[in-house]
Amino acid sequence: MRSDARLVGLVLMILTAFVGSCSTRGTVSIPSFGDRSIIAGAPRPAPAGLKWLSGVYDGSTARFGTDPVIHGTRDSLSVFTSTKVTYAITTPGCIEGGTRLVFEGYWRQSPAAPTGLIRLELFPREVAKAVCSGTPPQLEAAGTVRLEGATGADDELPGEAMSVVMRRQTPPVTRGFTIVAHHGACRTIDECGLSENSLESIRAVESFGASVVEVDVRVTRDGVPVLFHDATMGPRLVNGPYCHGSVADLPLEHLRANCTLEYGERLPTLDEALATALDDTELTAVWLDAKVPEAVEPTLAVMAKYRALASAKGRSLTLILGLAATEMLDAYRSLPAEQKGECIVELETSDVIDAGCRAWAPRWTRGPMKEEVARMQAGGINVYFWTLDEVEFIDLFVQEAHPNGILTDRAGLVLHRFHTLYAPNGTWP
Amino acid sequence: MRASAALVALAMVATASLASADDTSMPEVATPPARALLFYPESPRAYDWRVGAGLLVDVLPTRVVESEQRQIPQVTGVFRLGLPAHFATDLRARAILIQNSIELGVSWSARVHALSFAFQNHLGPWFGFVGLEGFDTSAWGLVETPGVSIGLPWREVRFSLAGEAIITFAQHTTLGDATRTSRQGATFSGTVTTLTVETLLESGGVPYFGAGILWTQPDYQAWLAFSDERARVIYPRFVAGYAF
Amino acid sequence: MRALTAVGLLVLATLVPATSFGAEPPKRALEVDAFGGILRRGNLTVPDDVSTRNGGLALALAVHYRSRYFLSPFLEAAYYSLAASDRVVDLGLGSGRSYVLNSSWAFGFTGGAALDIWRVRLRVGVGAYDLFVRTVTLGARSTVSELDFGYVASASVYPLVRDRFRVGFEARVGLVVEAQTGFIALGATLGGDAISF
Repeated sequence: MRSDARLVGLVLMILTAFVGSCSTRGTVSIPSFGDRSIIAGAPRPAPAGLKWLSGVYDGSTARFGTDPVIHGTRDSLSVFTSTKVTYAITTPGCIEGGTRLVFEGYWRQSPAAPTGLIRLELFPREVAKAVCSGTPPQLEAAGTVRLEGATGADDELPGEAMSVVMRRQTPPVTRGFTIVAHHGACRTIDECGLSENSLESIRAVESFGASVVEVDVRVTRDGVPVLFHDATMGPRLVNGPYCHGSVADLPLEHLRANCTLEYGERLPTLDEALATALDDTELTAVWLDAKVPEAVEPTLAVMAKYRALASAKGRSLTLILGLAATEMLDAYRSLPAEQKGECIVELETSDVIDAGCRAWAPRWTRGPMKEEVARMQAGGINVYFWTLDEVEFIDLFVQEAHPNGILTDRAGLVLHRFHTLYAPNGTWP
Repeated sequence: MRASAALVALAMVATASLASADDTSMPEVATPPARALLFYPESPRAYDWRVGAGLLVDVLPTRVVESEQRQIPQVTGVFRLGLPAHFATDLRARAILIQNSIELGVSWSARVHALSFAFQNHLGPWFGFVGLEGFDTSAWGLVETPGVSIGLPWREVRFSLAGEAIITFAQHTTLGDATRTSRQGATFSGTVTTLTVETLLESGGVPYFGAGILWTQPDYQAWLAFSDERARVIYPRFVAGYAF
Repeated sequence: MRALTAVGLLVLATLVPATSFGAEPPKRALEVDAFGGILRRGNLTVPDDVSTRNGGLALALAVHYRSRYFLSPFLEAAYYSLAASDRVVDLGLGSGRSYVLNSSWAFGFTGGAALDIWRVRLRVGVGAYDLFVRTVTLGARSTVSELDFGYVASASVYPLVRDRFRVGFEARVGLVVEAQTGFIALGATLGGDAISF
């Protein structure tokens, strides 16, 4: 009996540990220079200058391999590599009267693995001065432009030297091949500090290497289209002690009252998301994936509004409705022609043609389907595979099927592969 | 919450210990089963065998499968045969179409007083198929699970606590007409720890149930989740069945 | 503090002399048990709250099948009052901060196994929780529910046993996995053999 009791106690202790260990959420750590920054408050160079720095570079770096890709956007400079999916996001600052251009930020090995600070400076100084003054220098960048600096671990100041020289300039947006960011700049599992389907994530998409963003649309009980992926609220995506149920069960004010996204952001409406894409980014397109048939019509209405707004502002922003299942396709087909818009279908090729859509998005689990892709492209229909994240499979699909683009959670990785492997001379396909 | 749960468990231990303090009955000697057991570490008598069937459910964390189904149930079958010199061999199979495996194992056991110990190793292929809308996919690979187990008898019940490492070899994935082989060589993918309870009925049958904790890379278990995350996640396993 | 009180009650309960049994307990029986107690949630953080009630009433009704074998399987239906809050929140709709009333409760349907040692019963079960949330704000009311996987574990001590009936104290722990909601409940339990054979 005594041994029986002790045995029971041991079993229950194990069960207690078992119950307590079910939570698997990690914590995010984004290192920051804080008051150690040397560019705090410094003016930023014009967007054209940062984009001019985009290219494939050569050099010796512990973290970014020997051929990192530098990607300039209107307000950031990113570093991408295929080596352990490492990336860096930096912000620029022109100091010492605009004679020095310094970049500070963080690097990270995705997903949610080692991270640290990075500081880079642009050389030669004449180039830095020209970029800071607002006009890209009129000289051959390849072989001239140099970035020197260091990386560090966690919050330690950078001390591991790195130096890279531009081998070849690249356009800020890939030509003929579109990299679409899945759910936003990064996904929940990557813990990059930005929630999926948030306004903050949409603003960061270009820094992460993509030129198009894909977001998920559902409809609240009172008919407002909002961005949210899952069928029900859950700790994977949202926080709040009263955040339960599904989007369709709640009016917008109750969703907002009870739920915040993983990193505290507000759950955005589709209207807010497209306003952000239009006013705060230079994205070329937004792919709106309707998750339920009820979302099709209201999404098209908001798309029409922002198509007109973009046109009025002289901004090129393509809005495309994603139809992932038969129910959504049927809902789209049932609408009159004047209510329809650009669409991309994830089902069979015949569905794409029947619906009059311009793009096909097959799931990657169907294989590269080289002949079918070529047939669709010959008929003027673009093809985008989803969702490809592993290097081996990205290489396989891009090099075998030559799609018009891919939907990925690893935009920076794909950008690096594109410039160094798929189109090493700058031409695609 | 964890502190409260731990406190409750401590209270139970304290209570149970107090309950036994004035109990003067002698511990009952566990009657050996008439035939082999499926999971208990002590090897069955030479050439004694038993077969069982059941269900196994792994509940995957949503951070891996996102909004897809978390519970992956599998039908299971186990056959165990005793061998001379405290050895035993067993064959365990699981099936659910998208995730199937067959493993052949061998074990050697020893007994110390009431406790039994065993060292075991299983090796076999796993394979999965999906041909639904949006899928034309199959994959296969090899998996090895070396481990140890400890067993305790109590009246007609046998407790078995087994800890196994999961070693995976190359994963061969076919997508449409393309095939890719990833992760060549042996990879430590994680561990699985399972507590199984077998009850010897008067009729001779042995119902069993248990629970386990897996700590594995997501793509070991759910190759269809296509997660490229290499970090290991923790999730539970439940088993139940009947040995004939 | 409440947990320490639970430990103290459990220890004291074991020291109470058992009342004399009647006839030899039946070999098999279907037992019905009722539980009533007070519940408290773990890790309840409510942002922007004016007031919050953590937990409330916990009620459960279970059926156990007792036999000569080691464990007794059981099925249980339970009600748990989880929380209620008054909050003032900016909804981002241009109407400034708004008053929000929330309450949540759950119905649990679990099954598992119980172990009886002398006057102590230990139980572990898995099953489903139907979790409800009511929200009232800006004149609109909504009630949503979701079905989630969960666990329950409990320890009961019966200082009073008479023939087929027993009365005691119980501490239970529950976890609604998907909702990451855990709770502990303490209360009284009353059980009896409905059918014996």
